[in-house]
Amino acid sequence: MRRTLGKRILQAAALSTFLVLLGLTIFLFREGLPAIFEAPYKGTQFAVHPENPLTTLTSNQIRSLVKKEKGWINVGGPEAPVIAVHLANIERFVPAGASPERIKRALDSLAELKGILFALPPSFLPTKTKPLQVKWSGWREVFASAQWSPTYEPIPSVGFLPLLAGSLWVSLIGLIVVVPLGIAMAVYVVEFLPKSMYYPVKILWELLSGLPSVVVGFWGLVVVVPWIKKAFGLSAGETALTAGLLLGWMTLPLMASLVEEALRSIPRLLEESSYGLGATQWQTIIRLKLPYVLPSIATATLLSAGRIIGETMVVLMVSGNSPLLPLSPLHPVRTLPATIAAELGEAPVGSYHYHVLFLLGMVLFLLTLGLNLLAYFISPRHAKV
Amino acid sequence: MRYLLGSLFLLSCTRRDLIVIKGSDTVLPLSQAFAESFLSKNADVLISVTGGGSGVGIAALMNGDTDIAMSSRPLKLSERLKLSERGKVLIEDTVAWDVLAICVHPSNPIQKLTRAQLADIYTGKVKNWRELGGADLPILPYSRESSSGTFEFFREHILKGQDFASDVRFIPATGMMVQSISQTPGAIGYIGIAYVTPAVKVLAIAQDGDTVYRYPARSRVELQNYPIARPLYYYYDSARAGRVRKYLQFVHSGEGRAVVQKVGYVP
Repeated sequence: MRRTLGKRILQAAALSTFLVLLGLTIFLFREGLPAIFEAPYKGTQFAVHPENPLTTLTSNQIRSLVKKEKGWINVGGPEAPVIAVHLANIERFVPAGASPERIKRALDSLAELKGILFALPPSFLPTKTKPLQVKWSGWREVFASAQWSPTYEPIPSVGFLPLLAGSLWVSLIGLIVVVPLGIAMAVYVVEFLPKSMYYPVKILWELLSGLPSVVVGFWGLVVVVPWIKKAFGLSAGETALTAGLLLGWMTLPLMASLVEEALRSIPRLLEESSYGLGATQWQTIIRLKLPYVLPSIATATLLSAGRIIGETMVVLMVSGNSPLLPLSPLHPVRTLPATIAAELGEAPVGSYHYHVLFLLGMVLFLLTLGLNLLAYFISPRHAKV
Repeated sequence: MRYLLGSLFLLSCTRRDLIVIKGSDTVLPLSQAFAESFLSKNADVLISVTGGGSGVGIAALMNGDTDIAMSSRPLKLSERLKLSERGKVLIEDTVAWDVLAICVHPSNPIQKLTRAQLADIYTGKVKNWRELGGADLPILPYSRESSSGTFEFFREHILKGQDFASDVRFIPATGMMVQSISQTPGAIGYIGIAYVTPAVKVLAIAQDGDTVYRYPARSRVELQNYPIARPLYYYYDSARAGRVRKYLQFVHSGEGRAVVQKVGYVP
């Protein structure tokens, strides 16, 4: 009787974790997917002068018209300068504090300009205009564009590429740091460290992994950033390299502990056979032990990668956060989690910006899930405890 | 993020008037300071101050969920139209001025910039200090993150709605901006005047069409022609003005003005 009750309690605890994870996943997808299937200008109607021959434009064409990179002629429109009026700049055309009638009159007179381009809620639009359809392809805008400018009016740019590239650079550098160092640390601790020193060293590891990331980030900003700037002769030290180095260093305890555990699980018999055949300690480490724990090293690497790619605070503080497509690790980068942390605070709930940030979260979730699944499948299932 | 930090001033709670203040994170520290000194004198009132952004505060005011909306921008046209549809009249009250200082590294010989030059720097049209009469040094523009009201204000009034160049470095907090500028010789950035330290150098700025370059000032008279100062507002419903009258009297009293200065804004 008592045993079944205990079992039920354990079952409930396990189930609650599963349910929370499930709920989180559903929430993430529900809030993220609209960014692909809905256009960012919901509630906005585009309109032009009635004599303007155009009926459809792509979102890219609209953006270059608004930014004045292109004129109407370049997209097959009339020979007139582009006058774009949208909610973010309407105050430039209508005096602040104007009455509704006055606003209507001002918009009506704007509607007579040949080059007018309105992007306004339908209730604002003057009647003597022609609606313009705008083509928006969510998949292409999100996954094939290198421009991240999610609050730009009237159509934001939400290309993930610079952010994905930023995250990949930081993770790559972090792994280059953490993998060799982690293995070296683990081998040293298992093979060479005097027994009396083991616990002090372990306590230091734990301390390192328990350090709040904001502390690491601030130390990075004040110490490592100027150091990188000087070492590479850069004009500013906030780069992918800086963030990668710090993250690699932060992940070191995780990597080293996983490899250490694997090294300790090598059957005593194998090790002793190696010595029995006359192999030295180095030969045993390099020819027997490391190859034996290779699958564990691969798993540890993937788990570390998952940890690095999701780290937020440190990157936010030392990577510069510029949304450009970084070509070298010495460029500033903006990563996926840093973008979410920096922008979610002021994205109105339910707005396109809000959805697109959740879509970023979704991508991050899938990346981490992929890494973990991969780690699971290559993990050494023959490992003996 | 900062929404969570927006603190809630709820002291003990039995049958006392509750004034709810909600909105801009820029105004938030000011309202908290107002509330603290006001409460120390008026034990019969409760004040709750929450952040969330200007738009959040104004929307709450329209729905009657708050008594005062804090805002770092005037009402938008769309908001005004919505209000007139609902037959509500809002009263606008300027409680303080927020002044932005344009800062560079102390070793940078540059002294002054025009508004247009500043826009060229942030849109990436000018890339070297030499082009502006300075040393041969690449320009490294730093900006606040897009979640900050300061960012919006800067984009609207300095860039005139143009987009930031993609190599601008975005910094999540003003203190870190000061740190970054002070350790980067080619850097330029904008910060609230309260955050200026000797580690950075403040530039004089000229408004469009103005030949005089001006430094950010701490009094309202001197501010008139400085291009990067903005009023901070309280909005409240005229039909419910009685509820907040005493509080607003305090805000505009000598004591309230001293609070403004202490928080780092211009009265």
